[in-house]
Amino acid sequence: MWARFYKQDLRVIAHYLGSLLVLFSVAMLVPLLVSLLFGEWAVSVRYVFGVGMTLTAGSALRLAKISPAQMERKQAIAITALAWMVCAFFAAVPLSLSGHFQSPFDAYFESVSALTATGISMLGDIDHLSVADNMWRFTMQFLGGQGVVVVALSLGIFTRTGNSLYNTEGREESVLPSIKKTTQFIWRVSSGVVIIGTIVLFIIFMFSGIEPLRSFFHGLWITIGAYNTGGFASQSLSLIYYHSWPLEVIVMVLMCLGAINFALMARIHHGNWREMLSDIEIRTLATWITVMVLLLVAALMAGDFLTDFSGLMRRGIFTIVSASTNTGYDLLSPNQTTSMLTSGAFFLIAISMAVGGSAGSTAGGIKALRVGIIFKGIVARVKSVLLPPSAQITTTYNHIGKHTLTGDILSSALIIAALYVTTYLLGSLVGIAFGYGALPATFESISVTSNAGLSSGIAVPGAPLLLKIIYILQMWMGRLEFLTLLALFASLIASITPRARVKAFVRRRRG
Amino acid sequence: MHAIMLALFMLVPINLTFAEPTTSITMLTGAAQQSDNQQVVFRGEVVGDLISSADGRVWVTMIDSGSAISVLMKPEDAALIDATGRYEQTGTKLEVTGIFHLSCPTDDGLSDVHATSVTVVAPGEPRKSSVNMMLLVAGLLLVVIGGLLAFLYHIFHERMR
Repeated sequence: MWARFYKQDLRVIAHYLGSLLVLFSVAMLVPLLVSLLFGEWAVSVRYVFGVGMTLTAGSALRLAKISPAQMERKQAIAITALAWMVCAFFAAVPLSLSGHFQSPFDAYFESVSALTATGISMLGDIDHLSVADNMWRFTMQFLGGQGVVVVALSLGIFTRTGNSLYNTEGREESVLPSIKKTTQFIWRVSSGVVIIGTIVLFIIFMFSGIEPLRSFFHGLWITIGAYNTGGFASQSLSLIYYHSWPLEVIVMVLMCLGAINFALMARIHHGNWREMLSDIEIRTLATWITVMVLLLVAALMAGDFLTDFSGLMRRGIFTIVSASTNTGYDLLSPNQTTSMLTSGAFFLIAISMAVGGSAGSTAGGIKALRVGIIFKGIVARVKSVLLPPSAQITTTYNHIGKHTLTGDILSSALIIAALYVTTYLLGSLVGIAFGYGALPATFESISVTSNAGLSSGIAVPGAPLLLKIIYILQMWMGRLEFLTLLALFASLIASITPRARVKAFVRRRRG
Repeated sequence: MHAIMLALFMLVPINLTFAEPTTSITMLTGAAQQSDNQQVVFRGEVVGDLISSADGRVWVTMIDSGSAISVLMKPEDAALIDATGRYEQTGTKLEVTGIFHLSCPTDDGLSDVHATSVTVVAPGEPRKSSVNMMLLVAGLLLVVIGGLLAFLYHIFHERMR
């Protein structure tokens, strides 16, 4: 029996979405203040308008239900799922008025890409973009990487919600006993990493000859982009622009940090260092990245691009780490990616994105935890085939404590993995239907669904509108790991199907 | 006579005309293997920052028609740049003659151009953006309305306690 939405539910959903929008309008003060600081008056007007529009919409929606009771699960699902799309809509308003997008829809795509920490950009003439507009892009990427709902929970915006909202945003583990403490811990860790990363990159950029103020902002933006595995850049050449191997090393560290489970970080923070070595997710991720690097070396050696040691180390390894952590920063030009890499290397990068980072981190993809669990499940199954039927096989794994691998856990991992793979395939078929090559279409589909952001050149401003809509859906689904969104769609369909019609149908079938 | 001709040749500055661009940045960013290690001449706007290279030269980013490329040039050539492109600023437009590398062997596989000569086509110039007063008024109005609605919610919420 599907949960239906009633008028009462819609009012509660409207109330909480409104609360999120009010918070979002406060976030929009960041670029507004930056624009005033830099004297970007024309830009500041756009953000005044954006703040006003978001605040008005949010405040109006809040009035739908003055004092909601304990949130029900179906309401939490709807709020979490819709939060991303609704916030992206209002976020796009000041950007769409900048003149840097071919259409308002492209600005919406950019906002969705920022909030889902995907990182594919529809911006034109990015090198002439204002400091405030860049600040907004990266603010969105920070909020999105943390999770829009997580931010709201940590600020106590949502009260009386229990685990409902937290779990529906694709997070399964509670880092600390209370949800509020968990979200505040995530917030504190992220803020700390951003501050330290910004200082380190600021120093690197100053030594490169970049002006102090630009060094600060570029350091801040790259740190946010790397740690939140978002991958946005403020210059058209992305990280190639900086010509700095120290920067690339720091970015790789930040990307790896961003791809680590927050719950594991909390354990390490409390002194349990050994957990890092025995954790199934860390082991899977480390093994996976090592194997991918070795395979990439072999694949590149088959061609004549990046066959020298220094180029391989610098650009090859960076690309695999960026793809595996679903960040999307690139040290290869689009031409090099699509026409100089061997098809094997190109495919390996796609597979790296498909698997992704850790669950409960800022990374996307199927997640290393599920891959590790599925592998252990396969090993257990092979054992059961070899051993007598009466033999009892117990498989355990370490992940924030010791767990027994049960049928439920394994089937849950398999279902999500299957949903990811299905979406990758369906998305690639859509790309092929639009006339793109099979390998680039698959690459792009995997990139958007896993929120990685590396591009084969399909998701560009001139791409067909319908394809962009499909990619937005894929980014949305990937960010929420499907079940929340599928549950919402099912409930929506159930809600609009008249009860009487369903009852009559059932009566006819029964004869 | 020959001496007079020689003196004139020495004294009159030679009028250097621009070389005809052989390619564009857009074509270079989509270049095939045949273009590797070839001399190219192209034009574009300098944007962003002048980044110091380890060998004392300067990395410059140039753009044209939505495409961008890295150019490595001598400090004295970089000194010709009077402004780099950013918000409300068009950067110096240069004509660059250099060797194009699809995958530069000295720069770890980077796609770049090593400039051999640089000429200024046009100096940088400011771009002015105008403030949209109607948008400002609408924005301020919405902020006031939003604030009032928030206040209204607060009153209703307090009454229900």
